[in-house]
Amino acid sequence: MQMLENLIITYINTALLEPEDAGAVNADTELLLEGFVDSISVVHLVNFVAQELGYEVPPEDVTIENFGTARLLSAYLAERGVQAPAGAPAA
Amino acid sequence: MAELLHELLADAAARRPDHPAVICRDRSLSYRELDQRAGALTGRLVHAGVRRGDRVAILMNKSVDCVVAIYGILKAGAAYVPLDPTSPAQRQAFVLSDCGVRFLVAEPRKRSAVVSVIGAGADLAGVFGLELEPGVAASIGSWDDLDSADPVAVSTGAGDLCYVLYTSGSTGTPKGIMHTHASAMAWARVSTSAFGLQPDDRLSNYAPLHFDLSTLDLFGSALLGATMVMIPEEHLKLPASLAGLLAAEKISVFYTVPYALIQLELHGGLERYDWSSLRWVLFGGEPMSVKHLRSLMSRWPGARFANVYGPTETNGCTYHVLPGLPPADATLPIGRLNDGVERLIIDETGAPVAEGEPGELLIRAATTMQGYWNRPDLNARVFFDPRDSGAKYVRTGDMVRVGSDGNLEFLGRRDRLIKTRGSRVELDDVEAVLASSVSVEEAAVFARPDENGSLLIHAAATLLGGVEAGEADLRRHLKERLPPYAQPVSLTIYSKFPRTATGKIDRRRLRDEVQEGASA
Repeated sequence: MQMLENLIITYINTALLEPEDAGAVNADTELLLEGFVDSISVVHLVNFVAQELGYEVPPEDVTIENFGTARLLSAYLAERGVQAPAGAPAA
Repeated sequence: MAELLHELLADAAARRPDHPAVICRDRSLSYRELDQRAGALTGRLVHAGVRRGDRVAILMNKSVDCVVAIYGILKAGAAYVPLDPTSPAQRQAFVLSDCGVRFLVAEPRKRSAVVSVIGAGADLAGVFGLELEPGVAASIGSWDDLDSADPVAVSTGAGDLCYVLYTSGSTGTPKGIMHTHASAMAWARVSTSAFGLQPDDRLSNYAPLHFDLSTLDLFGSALLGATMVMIPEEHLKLPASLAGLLAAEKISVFYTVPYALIQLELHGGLERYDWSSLRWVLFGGEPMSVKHLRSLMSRWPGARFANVYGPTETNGCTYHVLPGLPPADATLPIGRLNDGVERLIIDETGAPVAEGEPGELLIRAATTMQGYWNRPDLNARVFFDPRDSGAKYVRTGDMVRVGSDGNLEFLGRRDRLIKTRGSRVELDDVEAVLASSVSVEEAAVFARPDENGSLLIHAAATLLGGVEAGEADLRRHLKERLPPYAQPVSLTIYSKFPRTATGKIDRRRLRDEVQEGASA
């Protein structure tokens, strides 16, 4: 779960944020309210989960409850048995 | 009859004191509570030095206290200037200094944003709603301390400004659109009566406060004494959450933008909810894709749909209620004039066009703006008095034509009608054709000057999920439907479009992103 969380935080910090914001997101940063993630980067996040973690999030699960913070998202994925791939980089 | 927007609130508080006025996240205020809390804020503002005719800015995320801020400012005889919380500090500071704003209503979570905007040059005498370091700006009160205050009476007239909304100017400098109590009130009356809105309706507030769509939600609900449910920012980004909220709150009147409707239809999981409360879906701001509208109308068979047209300068001036499912190849008209609206359609020389011919739409109505704040240059151009009779029309900059059924048809922005290599092309036509492709989610078509000073057409599109189409497929689609001179010289497939602060496709940025090489 910690690995998952780190993987997600790293992805958001390096791939989704504007360069000046890189590193600004931690496990409990409110991604949607604070404007770190917009409607388009949510799609990228969903694609990342599908490609790197092998889990297709159904559209009806793309909600504030599941995507509001990196912690919420990793908890959601962990509940569905998703694991960080072996050899994933630590954050 | 009420003449001032805050009289609507006072009337509703007298008529239905315990009816919920505004709901947002986990909080709700009744009309009595809203009126009292706003009155207490007025006391703080007046005590701090706010006077009739001042402009007071708001920098807040959506919450019931945004509405307290609006009425607190209005009751002080001042106009509210809502800042876009997502726009850069530099731009916010420009708005504050351009509009001569000296007081700001904010909230504790906006502390760093307020410090940044002051750092970017805003000169503020006082900030309500949060504590700042000494020397930064004086704090003039807290949201936790609004329960005990004597009401302050400030005399205000219907001709006083009620809000100034800043929109992008064509030169990149925002311009402030001034409305008075009279024009905002006229719009609240016209819109609620056009759609037959009722006191027991539950109106959504989808748009942010700096976007003019929000004024129907705000003042229409106050006029009716109805409930307004504000949709928090984070829901705007996640269609599945937005759908859940609309259904759970039993929204009956949903006024929104085409983009939100498309996202709801594609990703909202609408089939999971009961939509029996939803009776009006109103949309405006940019043209709606008929393809997506048809799917949505099938999903929400109990709702009526209306295309609402009108720039921020005029408020809504026409609307078209869909009589039924439009044919797949239809374009939506902007419809008929609202009650009390007069129109003029003119050609480039300022002469009226013959009935049915395209021309620029000019509007004269009680709902139109007073002008652009502090911009005599723009005001000299935007108002048009055809017979020097004192009957001032507002130029919309939009090209229209009266169709054979009497409905007005929107043809695009005046500056979207271009000449390219000698041929006249409506960029919106090309865009609509591209958007009609079964592979395309959204399309944007724009013009860019070439090295000879002529304009060339460029296109961009996003594809529907799971579609394996390429540029060649879209080109074929265009070639089958448009003449050679209307074919774009470049066609770029994007995974996402840049958006303006109000959620429209940012065509200016797309244009700037076209590689120099592509325009050859």
